[in-house]
Amino acid sequence: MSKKISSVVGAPIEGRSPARMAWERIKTDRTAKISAFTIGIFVTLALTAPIFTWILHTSPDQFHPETLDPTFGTNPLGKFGGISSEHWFGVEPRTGRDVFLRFAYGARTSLSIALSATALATVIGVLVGLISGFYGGKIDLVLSRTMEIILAFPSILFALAVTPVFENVLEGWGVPTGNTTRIPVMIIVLSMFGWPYIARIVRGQVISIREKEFVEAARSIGATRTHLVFKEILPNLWAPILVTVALNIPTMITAEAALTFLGAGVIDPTSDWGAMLLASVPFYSVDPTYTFIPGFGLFLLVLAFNLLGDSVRDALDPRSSR
Amino acid sequence: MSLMKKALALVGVAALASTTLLSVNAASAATTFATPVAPIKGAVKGGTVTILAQGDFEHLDPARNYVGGTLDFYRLFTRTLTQYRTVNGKTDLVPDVAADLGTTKDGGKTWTFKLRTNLKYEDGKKITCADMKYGVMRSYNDDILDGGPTYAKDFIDNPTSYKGPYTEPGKDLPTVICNSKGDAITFKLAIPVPYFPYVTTFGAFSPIPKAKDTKQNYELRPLSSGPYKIESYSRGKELSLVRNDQWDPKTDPVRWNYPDEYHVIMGADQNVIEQSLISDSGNAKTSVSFDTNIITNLSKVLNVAKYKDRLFNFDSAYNRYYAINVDTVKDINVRKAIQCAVDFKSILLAAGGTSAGSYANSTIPKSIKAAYRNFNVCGRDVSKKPEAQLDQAKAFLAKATNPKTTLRLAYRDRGVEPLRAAALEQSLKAAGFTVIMDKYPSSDFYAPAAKRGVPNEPDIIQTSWAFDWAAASGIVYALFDARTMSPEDAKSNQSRGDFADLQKLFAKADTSATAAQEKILGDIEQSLIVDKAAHVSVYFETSHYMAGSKVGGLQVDGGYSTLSVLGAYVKK
Amino acid sequence: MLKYTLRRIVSGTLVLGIVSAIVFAIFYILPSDPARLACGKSCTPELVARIQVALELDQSLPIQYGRFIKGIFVGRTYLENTDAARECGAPCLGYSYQTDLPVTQLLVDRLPATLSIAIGASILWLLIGLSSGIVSALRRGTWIDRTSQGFALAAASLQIYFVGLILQFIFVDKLAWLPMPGYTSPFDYPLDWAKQMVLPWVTLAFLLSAIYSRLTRSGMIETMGEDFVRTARAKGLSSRDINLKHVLRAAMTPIVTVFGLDLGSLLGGAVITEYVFNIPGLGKLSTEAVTNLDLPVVTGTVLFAAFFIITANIIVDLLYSALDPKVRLT
Repeated sequence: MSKKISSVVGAPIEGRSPARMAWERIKTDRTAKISAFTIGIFVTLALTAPIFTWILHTSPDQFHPETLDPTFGTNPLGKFGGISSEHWFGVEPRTGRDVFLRFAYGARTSLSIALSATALATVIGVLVGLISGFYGGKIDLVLSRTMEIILAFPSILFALAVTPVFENVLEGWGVPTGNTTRIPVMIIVLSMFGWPYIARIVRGQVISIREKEFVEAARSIGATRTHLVFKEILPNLWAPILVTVALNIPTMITAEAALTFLGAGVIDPTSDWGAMLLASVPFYSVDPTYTFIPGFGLFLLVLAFNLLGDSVRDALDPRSSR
Repeated sequence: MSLMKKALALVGVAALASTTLLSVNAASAATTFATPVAPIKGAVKGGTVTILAQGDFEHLDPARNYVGGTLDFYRLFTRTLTQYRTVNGKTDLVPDVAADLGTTKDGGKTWTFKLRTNLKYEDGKKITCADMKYGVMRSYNDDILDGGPTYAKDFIDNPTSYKGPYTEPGKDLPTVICNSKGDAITFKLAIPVPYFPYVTTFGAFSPIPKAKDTKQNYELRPLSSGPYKIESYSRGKELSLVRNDQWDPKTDPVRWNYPDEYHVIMGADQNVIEQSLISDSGNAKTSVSFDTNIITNLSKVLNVAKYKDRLFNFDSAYNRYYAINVDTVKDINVRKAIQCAVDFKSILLAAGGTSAGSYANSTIPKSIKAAYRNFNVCGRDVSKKPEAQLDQAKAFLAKATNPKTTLRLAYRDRGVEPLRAAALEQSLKAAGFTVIMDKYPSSDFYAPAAKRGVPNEPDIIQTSWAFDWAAASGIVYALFDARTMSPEDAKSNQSRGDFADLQKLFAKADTSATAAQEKILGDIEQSLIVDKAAHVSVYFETSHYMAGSKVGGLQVDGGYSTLSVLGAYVKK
Repeated sequence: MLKYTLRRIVSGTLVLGIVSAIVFAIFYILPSDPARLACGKSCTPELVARIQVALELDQSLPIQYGRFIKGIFVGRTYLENTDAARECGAPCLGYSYQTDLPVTQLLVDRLPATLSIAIGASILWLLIGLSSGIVSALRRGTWIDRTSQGFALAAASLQIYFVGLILQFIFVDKLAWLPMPGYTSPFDYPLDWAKQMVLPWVTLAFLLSAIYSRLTRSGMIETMGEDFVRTARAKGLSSRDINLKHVLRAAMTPIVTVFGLDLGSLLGGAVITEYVFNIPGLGKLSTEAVTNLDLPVVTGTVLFAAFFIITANIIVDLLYSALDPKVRLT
């Protein structure tokens, strides 16, 4: 403690950017560090999943009939869903597929779909928000109404309903059926309902800064609109955008799992957390471990993202209290 | 003879029970038909029995009904010419609307049944011979009344190519004859059918007054001839039966009438029904399900003393098998490789393990002694060595002159079927095949999978069969006789086999007496599995049905191989 | 006020109109062939043709949409002037392919189960959320505050389908305190109805109350620092009066907003809750319809749900004025 103070005192006073200050704040936030660490573990797990295939000498799709009770295929042999040195998280009822590998590969699918959808939603949301806020008038009216209408849709229900339709359209274009159509459709559907939230916030921010002096100044020296939007306004928006994105990721992860849970997600044998939970429903009573693992994993990851999102927001805007 | 049966295994098929069947006796005239049926010990009248069903009945129209549980249930309001009666675990064939079990003087080509003359419908009108005949005639319009067994149409001689009363109103079916007094009905068949009195248990042989026939809507409100009548029926939701006061117990050798009402609640998931019956709380106490085999939670209840009285375990007639399409998988060695690659163990585990079924080398069950053959599949006894024989599979594949390593596996999206298909996919992959998984919707599988010469025609079809009477003739003709197929449609012959030597055997079987015919049919099946490698039987299913603690009088019905609700009562 | 109300209703109706057009476009125009989509794998050309006629897909799009809208408001007759003519009374949303029942009837049949979930759960989550939020705000920084806010944060990260199954495992399977969740009519068996609804209510309330708790707390803390509260306190009003009358009332505005939207979307079908607990409500109806590609039922449930959301929006806007005198309606 004393060391820290002395170092601050001893250091020459320097101008620090808001980003730098936020970063400093996050670095001292224990919750943020733990959350980031947790997220890091999950991301590492997702990235390194194939290594575990090699370590465990099996694949996520491989059946292991020897791990199941021959009389009741629903029951893995051994305690807690068949947890053992070969199968760290146990095995799947009826098939004996390795739950740890399915969990790791499931993290890959869930995270990549959720992050892609967040990215797409952010790009659309920021663009629409910028245009809507900057131009105002009729353009703003049309775009705002569009957002309002999308928000009036029952999102889960609608996402579920349009999935087969969009698939049908893609198939009409000759894209082969299966996950090759399912995954893009999921990303499109998720971002379709995600972008208005981002656009609304960006729009509000743009409106509040578009009349500020520095923008006026740039305008007066004849800066083009593109320059104004992308060089003057956008750089001042990264903080709210970052916060929105941080809080959007867990929402997307949740929505992806929900969609898959309801049967509009990736197709077996490709693993996914929502799909694992769906598959576990009949077994929750005979093999609760199998329900618990993907459910708890999902909870931890979403909680970590939520906490980190809160921390980022607090760091960027210290006035907001948790 | 050509058994042009509908792709039978369609939704889950009515079946005569495999093990109990041999005890189904055509009670001879000497044994009385015990009318009315003996009361169930301890049974009391009153209350409501609730039936939990995953989905709606396919069809309650007697001519269209072809599903085990429904065939049991519809007897509460439908009487047929003959019917099965189960008392104290013994199942007999008894005359129902008929007064005897039929007589034949020409070896089964002409059958005459005496009729009871004192039966009434729910509206108080008398049941007549003309109504029986009309019931048979309307089953000829199976374009509109689809889904049912087509035995009447298949067996009864049809010299004028009658097409049914909707297509040809006013035209007669001259081979079904009511006598002048209207107390006997005669059927002239195209071929001798010694087991015809079993066939007349099906709903086409039930009385329907022409004036009340509402064609495809008849199934919404069939007119009752039994102890109960339909009070309300909301498709997909619920159905209520109340007492029919026009029914006279003294005329009925099959049915009881203990509860005041039967209430069918439809639409819960498999697991939910399992859980509610096990928990035995509230409504579930007086509930039973006839379409929910306890699968997922079986380990919690089987051989547990607490549930012993409520759990009914019996062999079902369902054989789960794979048909290997010989049209597309032409090389015998590839077919043999597939056969060896089938991992019986992981497939049965996916279905629930040995508690849910028993390994089978053959689709003819052991209980049909005259036809069953104890042969090996891929050189081993599958009940002792159920694991896939991968080395042999690879060896066969290497021998193939016309190798086909990419296989399209067709299966239905229902219950554990996708998992069973995934189990097969795994072992096929391990044997060196590439597998394309082709999932079909639950309600729409058998017919499209049987289309021949179409793009994406499946190479392996995961399907099942339950026989309609306990004889190889109820299996082999439908599954392996090339004469049932057309160039576009394999019908129930999903393996599409058309082998000259086997067709010769079929021709021989057609004209043989029953015992010899059964033997030949057994030879055909053995050859088709062992020599032609066009078929892999995997297991026979075991049923585990559960009832609430307050329901009594349930018994395993030998006629339909299901848990019968006919004698159900609510315990006081 | 009246003018504002009318204007909101008109604009809400407009939004619903646009939503209906989008729904119509997505399900009837976008697919390369809706009849084919609805027909399944063993579809024959004759069957496609039959569905096309039954759906009146052989008509031009404006006519189709016109009839679709006309059906909703005044009813319509399918296949007019043919033998198969079929009267469909307003509000007509067509007939289910699966059961051939009018979609409107299906919706009405399923509404009570959804209402049961939504009303019971919303009362519970408001009670839990508001009370824990108020306590947290008044005891800011104490262990009660920290525990309840910690819980709220954790609950906000949980999933219905996970918590629901775990609770069901504990209370139905292990302890056997509750029957399997499901739906029985409260008019026939009120006790069974309540017992079967307990788990859905508790699960939903547990997860949703988190947001309310956090909103109440932050809203109250913010208002407690504002001038008018300080003035009230200076005037000598008791702190209980201040807290309840002024602070809570001012903090209610965002809560009412969120509540209206939550309730609105729940009434349209608690899709996941109904799926997990097997409750035959609107959400279950819609998931079943999607699985079977039963397009009329899919469009019907989507429109019905959108109707609830939009109505909730309007009511929320109107309630604003009643709750927050600062909001002026123009």
